[in-house]
Amino acid sequence: MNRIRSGQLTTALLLSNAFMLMCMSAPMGMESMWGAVIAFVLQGILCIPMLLLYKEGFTLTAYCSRKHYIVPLLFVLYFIVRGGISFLLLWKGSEHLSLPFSQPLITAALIGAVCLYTASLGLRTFARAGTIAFGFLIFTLGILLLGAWQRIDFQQLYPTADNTVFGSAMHILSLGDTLPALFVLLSFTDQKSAFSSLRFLGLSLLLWEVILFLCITVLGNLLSAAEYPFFLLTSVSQPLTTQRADAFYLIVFVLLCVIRLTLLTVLSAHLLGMLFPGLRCRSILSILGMIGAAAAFSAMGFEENLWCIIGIVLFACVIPLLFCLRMKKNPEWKEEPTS
Amino acid sequence: MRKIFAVLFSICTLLCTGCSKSVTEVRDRIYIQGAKLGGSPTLTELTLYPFEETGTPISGEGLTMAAAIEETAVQSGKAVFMGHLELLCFDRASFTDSMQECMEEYRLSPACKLLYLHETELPEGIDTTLLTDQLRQEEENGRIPETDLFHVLSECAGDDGAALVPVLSEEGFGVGLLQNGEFLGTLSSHAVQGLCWLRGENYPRRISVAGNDRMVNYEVHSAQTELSAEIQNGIPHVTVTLRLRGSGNSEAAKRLIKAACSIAAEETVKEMHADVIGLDACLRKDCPKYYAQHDFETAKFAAVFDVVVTAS
Repeated sequence: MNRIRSGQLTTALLLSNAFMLMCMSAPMGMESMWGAVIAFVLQGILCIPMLLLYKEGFTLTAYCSRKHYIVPLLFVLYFIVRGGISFLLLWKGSEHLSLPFSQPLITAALIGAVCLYTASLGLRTFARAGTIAFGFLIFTLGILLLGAWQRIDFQQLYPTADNTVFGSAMHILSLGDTLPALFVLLSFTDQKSAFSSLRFLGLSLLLWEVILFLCITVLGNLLSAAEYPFFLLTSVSQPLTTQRADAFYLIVFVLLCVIRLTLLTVLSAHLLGMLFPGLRCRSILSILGMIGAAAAFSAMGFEENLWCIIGIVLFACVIPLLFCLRMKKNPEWKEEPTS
Repeated sequence: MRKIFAVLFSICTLLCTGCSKSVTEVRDRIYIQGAKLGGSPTLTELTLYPFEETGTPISGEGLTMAAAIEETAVQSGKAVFMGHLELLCFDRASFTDSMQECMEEYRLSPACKLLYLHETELPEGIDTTLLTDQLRQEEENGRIPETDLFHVLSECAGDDGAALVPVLSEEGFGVGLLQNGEFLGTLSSHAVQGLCWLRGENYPRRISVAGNDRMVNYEVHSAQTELSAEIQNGIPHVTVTLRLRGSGNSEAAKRLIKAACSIAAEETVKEMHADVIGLDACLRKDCPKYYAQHDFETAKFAAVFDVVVTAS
């Protein structure tokens, strides 16, 4: 596994976050904009223990080499579950964006094949691909703004009765599953620049605020009835009178999904590799696990809920905090200085 | 061996992406420029006008919109694509109930123009492209307020479900009001002019005003409309502030605009009880307590309008 730069880490996590934003199906209102600020501030606070831990010199490789199995396995399980949820979101989203394929299994197989290929090229290649995808995301956002610009109505910025700031903040926090990924990814970056990786939270907040603002001011009365506000926003934000810009939105949606699933696959496969060096086809196992989880969630009628927040707090804050407290007694968890 | 496997796998993957036989080729598709929807609630009659100049209108009917489209596809021998639709004419107000579903199902452009046919029919052999261009010119010159599918959908989803639509009648283009699947009526020309200013999306480039011995033009360079509201003695007072930049007799222009705006507010809000000027959003934003305590019908009845026009 290669090392990645802090900027590449920021991009990968930002793109992963953007996919969750596209698939958001909760009611939106002006409260959501304040909710997003609170949710991202909370995420920043949750990150503090892991950043302090890495500043002390902790590495997952050193930890796993001491035959600690439970925590890395829990992380693997978490990434597989979140991958399954991502597949589920892709299936639901594809109905609204008219993907050329609509059967869930074909979709999962094709996306899974792309993710496997990307994951097989290593983390550094994936990180470079993330930079290109980020460029495409910015370009598509430009098109979205161009199409939405004339329809912005500031009169629509009023408090709604259906939403609360707290409820919105909790919902947005429940989508912040990139924090556990950050904990693992920090092992592959320069530890001195750990704090700079928090840039992704600032950039994600900016992205959320722009999209929420557009959804509220452009969709107006239609927002309350929209199942997926972002997809409705794309369908009404067409910069040209008759020519449609759907292809851009479609490409960026699939691209973000691939980036997110590849990230989760790479991380779970890498953790499996550290635990069981002899295990082969780790990426395939991870992808299959995600598809299986997606099928199970689909049958269960899964929805984002309190368990998602508990998962984020546990993996992003509680576990790193416990490591922090036990670090002094276990100096072997620190990275060996390379000669 | 691995390279051969990789190439074969890539080809198989490409076949699954939609570039296979199940996808409709461009030549097997008919691209629709305009459509006319009519019939009764139990029978939908659809006439489609393709983009091709030589293309003849295709008619079909069915119990639902989907069935009618299927019928037209059979008639034309091609798959119907309505994603580039520019004009949708309809003579049944209740069609607005299923409009959002149609937009999502058939990927209609949100900028697609709607035209309500009031006690009239589209003549045989009509050029719908010309009709669309004429409608656009009416809007560009500020003769009628700018509307499209998105505007109508957004207004239909508002508190009172009232929406402004361009109307084609024996007299030509006009503007009418739809509310909850019913046609309320057409508006006077003064009210239509006033609505252009009140909605603030398009406005005339010039206004003919009285000069010393003849009519002269007041050239409008730019205009900005702002609605604000406050509660005075338990009554919502709505102030429409219009900031004009132009050249000519500004005092006469201000008087004309003020009169047109007052007529527009009177005809729509007071007489037809329909809000098509964004009154609900204005009250929700500026007077949230009043809005929460009173129903919107009461608010519309009680609202007092004041139009302030400034010119520079």
